[in-house]
Amino acid sequence: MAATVGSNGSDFLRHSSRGTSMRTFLRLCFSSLEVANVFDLPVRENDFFSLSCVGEIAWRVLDKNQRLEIWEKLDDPQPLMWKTAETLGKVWRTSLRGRVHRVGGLRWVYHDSSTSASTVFSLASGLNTGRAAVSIVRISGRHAGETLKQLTKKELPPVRKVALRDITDPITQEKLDSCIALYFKGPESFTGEDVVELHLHGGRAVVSGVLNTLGRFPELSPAKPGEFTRRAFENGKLDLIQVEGLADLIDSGTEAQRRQALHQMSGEGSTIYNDWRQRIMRCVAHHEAVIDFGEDEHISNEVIRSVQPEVMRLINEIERHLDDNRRGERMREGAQIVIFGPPNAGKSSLLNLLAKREAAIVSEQPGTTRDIIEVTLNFSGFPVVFSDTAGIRNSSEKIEIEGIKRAKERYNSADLRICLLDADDIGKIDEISDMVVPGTIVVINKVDDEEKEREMQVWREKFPGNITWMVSVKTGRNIPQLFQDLGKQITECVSPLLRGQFLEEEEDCVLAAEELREALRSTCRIVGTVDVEENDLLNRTAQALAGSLVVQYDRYVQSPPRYAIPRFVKN
Amino acid sequence: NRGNVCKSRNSYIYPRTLQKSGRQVRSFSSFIQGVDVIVIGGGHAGCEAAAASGRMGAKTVLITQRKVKTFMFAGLMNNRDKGVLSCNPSIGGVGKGHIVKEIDALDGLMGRVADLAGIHYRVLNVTKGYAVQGPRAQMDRDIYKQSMQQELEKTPNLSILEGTVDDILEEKETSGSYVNRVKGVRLKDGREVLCGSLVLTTGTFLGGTIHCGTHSQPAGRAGEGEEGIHALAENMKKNFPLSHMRTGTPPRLHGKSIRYDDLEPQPSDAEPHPLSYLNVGHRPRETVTCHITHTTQQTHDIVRDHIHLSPKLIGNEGHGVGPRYCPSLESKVKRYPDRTHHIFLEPEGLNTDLVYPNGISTSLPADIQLSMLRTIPGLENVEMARPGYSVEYLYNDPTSLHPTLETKRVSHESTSRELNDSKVKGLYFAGQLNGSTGYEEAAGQGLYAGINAALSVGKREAFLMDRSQGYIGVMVDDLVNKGTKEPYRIFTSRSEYRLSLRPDNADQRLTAIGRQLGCVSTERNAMFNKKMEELSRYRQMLSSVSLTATAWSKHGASIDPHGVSRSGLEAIGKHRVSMDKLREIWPEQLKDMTRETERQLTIEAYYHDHLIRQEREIGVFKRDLNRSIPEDFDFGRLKSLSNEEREKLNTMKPRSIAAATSICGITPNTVLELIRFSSPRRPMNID
Repeated sequence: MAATVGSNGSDFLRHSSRGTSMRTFLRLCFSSLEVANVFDLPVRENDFFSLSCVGEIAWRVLDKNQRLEIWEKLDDPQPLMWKTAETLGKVWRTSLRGRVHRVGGLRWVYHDSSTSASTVFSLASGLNTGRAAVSIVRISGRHAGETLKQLTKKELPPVRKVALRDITDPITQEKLDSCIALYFKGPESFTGEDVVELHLHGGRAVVSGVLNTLGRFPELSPAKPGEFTRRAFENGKLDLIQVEGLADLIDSGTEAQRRQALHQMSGEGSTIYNDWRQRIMRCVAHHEAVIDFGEDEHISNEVIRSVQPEVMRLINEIERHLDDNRRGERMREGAQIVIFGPPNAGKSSLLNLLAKREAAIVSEQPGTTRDIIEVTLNFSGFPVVFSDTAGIRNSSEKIEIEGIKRAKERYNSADLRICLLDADDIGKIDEISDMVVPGTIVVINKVDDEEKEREMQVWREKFPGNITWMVSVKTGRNIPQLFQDLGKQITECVSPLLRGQFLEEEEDCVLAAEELREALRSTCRIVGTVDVEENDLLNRTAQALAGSLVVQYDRYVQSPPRYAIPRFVKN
Repeated sequence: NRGNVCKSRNSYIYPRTLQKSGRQVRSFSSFIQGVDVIVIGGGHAGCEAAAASGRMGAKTVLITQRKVKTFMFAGLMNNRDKGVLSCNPSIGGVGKGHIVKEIDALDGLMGRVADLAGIHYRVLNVTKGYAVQGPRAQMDRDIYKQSMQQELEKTPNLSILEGTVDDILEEKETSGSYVNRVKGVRLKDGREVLCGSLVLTTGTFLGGTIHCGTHSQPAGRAGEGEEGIHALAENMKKNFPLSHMRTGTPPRLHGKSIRYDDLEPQPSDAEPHPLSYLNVGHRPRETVTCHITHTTQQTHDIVRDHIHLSPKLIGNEGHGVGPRYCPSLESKVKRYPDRTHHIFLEPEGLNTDLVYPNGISTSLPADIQLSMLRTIPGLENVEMARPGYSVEYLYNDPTSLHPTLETKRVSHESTSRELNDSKVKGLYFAGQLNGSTGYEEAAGQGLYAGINAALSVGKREAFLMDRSQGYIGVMVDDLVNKGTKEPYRIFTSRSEYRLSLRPDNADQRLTAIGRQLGCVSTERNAMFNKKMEELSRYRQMLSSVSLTATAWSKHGASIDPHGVSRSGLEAIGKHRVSMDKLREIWPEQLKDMTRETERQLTIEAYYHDHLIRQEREIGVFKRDLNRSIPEDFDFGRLKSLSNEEREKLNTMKPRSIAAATSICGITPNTVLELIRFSSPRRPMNID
């Protein structure tokens, strides 16, 4: 279900320009969720868990207004909301890429006031992992210890020490399982509250037995999706970046995902943000010094120019970082790679070769593939979605026309594009060669031997900016090298895009200063250490800088750097 | 006993003007026996407070130490004693000019009087964007003083009383139990004046001591023949958290002894920007030229060699707590030893030879000052009319004030328990007494306190200007909620809403509010309405006409011809098309538009996109403000906070989330916590 929503959400984003009405977007997400609910699609336990974690992050990145708007609408915590938030989180972060001045939102979290005082329990390990050796049930809250006492009819085990305990249903006196029980006294626990963990034998019967018993305790209620993490966050055990990392860790399917998640968990993100904050603060201070003290202290506008290289550096770093984030997102969703080209070039064969199975129907007949065929693969440690598309040609057949339209849409939304050409038919590719944009990998198929390859060399020059591969899907010639190169390309999937619009010369430094302040506010919010003395500090810094800056100004006056503050296009 | 006091009252407490506005007097009928509002102090804060209160129909008495010669720079140019100090003869500047405009928008005196006395106009930050442009004017001190006096005399319901206040009288409020109300003041000569509200603006006079080298004398300002008010200081110390601050002024020079030839002249702007909205197209009577010079290495050497002769002050281990952003030459030399510092030579008037060297306030011994001055280019043979000095005075910790500038009176060491528990109603503080520095800051607070004092005696709802409405609001909020450790000066960077708090739109922000409060005259209101009407007519016109991008580019505007079509305002805002270009395109519709309207609309269009963002933030900010915290909320119960935070919150007792946010050292986590517990859906109980 999450996948349904996610892809709808990102498709929506791809098809709409930035600045789409949030309302419209929400409506779309809600409706797709409703569809999922109506058809009762299967939902994994873990989905809910990670959804709600990411939901909090979504909350963070949402615009303050929108967040409040949503907040007010919510009387009851609705799983629907969390799911929506999850989608928003992903999508919104995508849209954050170009907006350096809004690298994040507030640490403002939806708070479920009705439940946090209660004690909750839930299966903490995944349900649908099949028959696991061990399943863990976690109980968190004031009554956790008391519950364990009643279940075991013994004193609590020493804090944070493993103890073997039999657990019985206090009403029916039925023995449920013999398990390892752990007791954590808050605040030294995952959630910051008293926590009990029961390491049960795996298996549905045992687990559901225990959960049913717990459900009969009047003080206990089942944990809502992600509630443990939310409580941990609220009690100051995790910051949001860690929460995000944790959610990824729990959901990480591949090695690379795990590494990235661990990296975020360790709080390295916060260090970077702090560094940025400091540096942006310096830039702001320079601007403020010029504005408030420029006339009295004779600080020239040139000082602002001297800040600009630093601003540029910051922008580049943040862009790179955001692209990393984007990459993280791709790790969760999978990078989209489209294979396109003329009909009967061997696109479906290539897909089957990648998938190592007959995912697509292959035939001699051009136009066999009509709809898009997707294959999700673990490629060099990354989840990758390869899409095979209908061959592009002028067709009058209705279904094929629709197939070609979809192929073009997929082409537009892909992260990486492979143009597959037929060596025998390479003369007639006018329309397709227009689609070979920088970064597209050109693969000429049906190059079965060296003679053919020499013959085809001229075609390399037709696409001078692109990597061109001569392969034969049939014989496997050059295919390993192609796959290796693809792996490399996928790893570097994103190239930093320059979205700044540069001013010819600074026309109004107060606007530049406003942007910088916004940048500062944003970074502060991300890190969660907004210094409320900020203004004072800034002024102090500004005044201190007022003196030192003049020296810098003199140095720069001979050759002022030709940078300008980028102003972001908002349309 | 009120009867006795009435008898002893000087007859001119009842001015003629009172009878003129009989209707307004009736509205304050609960205080017919006495005066509605007393304002103590005739400086910038006091004058604005008294005039605002008078305009609002409250019977107001301004008590000042020397009635005739005191006003402004305050009595700077005393007739007997030419060349006596106070400070800089200029009004306005970056941030400060914004405040002057706000004062003027509420029909205050400062802008109007400054325009009458202006002899040198200059807009600061011209190249840095409309929002931070600071209109400034140099004053002729004589004319300023006279004009201010005339304005005060013209103000209805206002009379002026000469005297020194020794104590503030209080009485138990009849209705409430532990609440004291201000009753009046007792003067040095024993007279008592009764009132409903009291605005105290003591400036540098409360416990003021002047220092020049090792010489010191109790006074608020040199050469005035006025003493610092020490009896009042002693009485107030019992009940208010007073401590010391320092300010200073440079020596005054004889202009004839200055060699201007090699100095860079700074002429007045060709098109002077008036400080009052009333004076559109204002022309000063005559202008003077300022000059710029700078300190040299020798100057610094002299200062360094004699720095041990600086006076010993009380605050900051003998150095005094001075204004960081208007530092004395001594501290400049200490902090930036290798830099030269600019000095602006500003003539003090049309009919005086005195020159004010802006930027070198000092309190070194007089002979050192002279030798130091003579190391400055252009001043080689300068004669000093009077040495610079510094003055240390008492200020009241502004966090002990309500956001109306009415004191909460949280006593530090009161002798009687009853006093300690009580609150004083009707007592307002303004100006340097609240720890600010600068004429404009003082005047802004004076106006604000004066309005609130008058509202209070009229039993009307208090006037609160918030941070999004004006720099006065920013300043009051900063002072009241954060307090200040050093003389507080306004900057544009102190405001989060800098793009909307502009000098050009202070009237749009405040005049209508002022009209409702009753402090804006009919004439100004009519003028304002006319301006608004014209603005909205052309705003409407320019947003309704639009051209395709191709058409725009055909007219020579630098718009990408493939873009979308743009309205007139959008073309100005997004593509910086000039209004002249628009006049070419729509000559008929725009031919009657005045230059002012043109400028105003250009600025609006220019910031439009950014303002939308800012407005959204203002909306959210107001929402936060509305989340209130109960008065008796015990922050100590929030166990997740650090001890320091709990202590701070319990001391400051913020009444809203917004106020809590602005307290030093309060982290967002704490704010989150507060929001959580003050949320309307959640009862305030914490386990």
